[in-house]
Amino acid sequence: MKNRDKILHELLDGVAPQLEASVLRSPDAERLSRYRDSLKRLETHSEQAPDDFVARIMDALPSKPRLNWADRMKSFWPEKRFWAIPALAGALAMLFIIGGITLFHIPGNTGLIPVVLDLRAPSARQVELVGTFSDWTPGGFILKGPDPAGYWAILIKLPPGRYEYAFLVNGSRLVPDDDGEALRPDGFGNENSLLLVKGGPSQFVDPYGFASHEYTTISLNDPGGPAFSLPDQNRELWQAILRDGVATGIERDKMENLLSQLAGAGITPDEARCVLSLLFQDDQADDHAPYVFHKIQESILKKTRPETLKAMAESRYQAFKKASALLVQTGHEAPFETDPFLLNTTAFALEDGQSLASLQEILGSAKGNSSAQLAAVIEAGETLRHAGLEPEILALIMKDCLRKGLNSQQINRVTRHVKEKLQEGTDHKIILNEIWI
Amino acid sequence: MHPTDAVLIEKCMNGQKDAYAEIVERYQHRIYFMSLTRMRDRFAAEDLAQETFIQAYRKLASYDPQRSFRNWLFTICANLGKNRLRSRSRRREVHNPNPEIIPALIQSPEHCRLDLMVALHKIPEKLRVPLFLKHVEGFSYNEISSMMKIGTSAAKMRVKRGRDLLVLHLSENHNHSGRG
Repeated sequence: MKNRDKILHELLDGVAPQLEASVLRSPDAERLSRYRDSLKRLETHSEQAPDDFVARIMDALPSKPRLNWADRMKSFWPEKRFWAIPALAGALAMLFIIGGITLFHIPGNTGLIPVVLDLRAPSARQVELVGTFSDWTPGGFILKGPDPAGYWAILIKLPPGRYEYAFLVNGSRLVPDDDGEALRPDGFGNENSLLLVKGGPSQFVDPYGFASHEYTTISLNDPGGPAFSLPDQNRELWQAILRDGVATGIERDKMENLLSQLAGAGITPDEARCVLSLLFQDDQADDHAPYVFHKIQESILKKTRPETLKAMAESRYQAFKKASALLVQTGHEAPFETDPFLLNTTAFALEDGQSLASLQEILGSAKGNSSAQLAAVIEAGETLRHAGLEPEILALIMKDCLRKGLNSQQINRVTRHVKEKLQEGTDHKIILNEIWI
Repeated sequence: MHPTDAVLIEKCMNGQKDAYAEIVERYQHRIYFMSLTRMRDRFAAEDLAQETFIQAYRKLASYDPQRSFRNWLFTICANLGKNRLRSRSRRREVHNPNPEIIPALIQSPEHCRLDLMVALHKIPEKLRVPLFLKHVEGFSYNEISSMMKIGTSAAKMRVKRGRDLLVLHLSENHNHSGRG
């Protein structure tokens, strides 16, 4: 038997062709043909790299072929007997470096990630950027432009996080950014753009080749921006609301800013108290307050009526409460101050209409995934849900991403790929099968 | 006439970065297929293929022009793939595809394509890669043994067992879809 097996594989290797005739006459003839058929399928099979593969690699290449330090060091490493010399030299150098860093520490990295946003609006007189990073307040982020092609651009530096934004054209018209990560319904019948600022080493690419001074550059750490103070009219009533807010742990400046914006929008102190009442009843209001404030500030900018404003604030607040409870329940509670990304993403998904049960299922299926992976998967789920992917297929894809432990960039690529396929009209099951393989 | 790999690499070393685009163009689908054989997941495979070309570019200075560039490139891909799988397996079991996802296509060229990949991925990774190198890329057993840092007889044995399993899994899939 062993011998026949050996002969069969030798024939498949192209060795001993003289034995072929005898095998073809033996009971192994059918086996040989089955092996040849199977191997032919493998040998003639081909896989195509993505269309933009060459361009992607060429973009990622360093300017010159250059060995990294580890490879270079290898060429300096002496043979066997003298290995101690470079080892000691290396250890000494390391000591100097560590000592130097400890003695002369220079604070450099601020943890802010530069992002360029732009809009093509050749006939606009002024374009501003408003969003959750600026409390939806106009006046702070004015774009530079237009350039000869009609583009307005701004460079901002933001801490990692999830932001919603839009452009305010000529001080009155809000326009979402079609180039954003995704568009999200704003709850007022329009859409906001989504900006996901990832942590880690910055991979900033200047898309226009402007010199840095040609951008309007604003970072959140910069002082300035519009400052607000409580209005004189009904000042005591506004101050009472401010005191109640501060008593629940909400930051005084944020509270004061919000109240003056509400007053500026013609909201009375009674109406303001009514809108904020839900925050004043909760011990943990300060955790969720900034996000509720963003919604209120966005509503003000979009000239919403006070009763709608209360509903919006309540919906945002409830979403955050449910998200917190869900993360605790599924064992993904992360310290909110240091890692708010997962909570944000979960809350926004809930607010956006994602069902609690489906999120529970996804979060429950995660094993050993980081909060960044979970947030990326939930965000991808939101984008694909809006793109019209069937919920069952969507849930399978989301769980598959977690199961495979894909990182955020890979999950983004899955999202882009599925979106493209959906736009091409590919059957949803075929998309799923493709993702799996 | 197309320039040889050696000519293109010399151009790269002389600062003509564009010459590398031709190298990538030449090998992209084959390295991607190798990565897909190794990684099972197309997005992880894209990453591996991309990293292979980037690493190869970085290390061009250490490439010995006396050796075959194709062998060198596939060796880099094999080593990077091994490292990646090693770090992945520390986190989770990767040998079973998601049991909830079952290809549900009718018989079609697309189905045959998936069918082959499903069968290929049922083969353990240490047999799958030598099988790929032998039957898709046509490397000799000596070349496979030096690329995978195993003995020639081990390479032969792995290819043999890989063939046996490929035939087995393809016939299983055939029977399964025949019943369905």
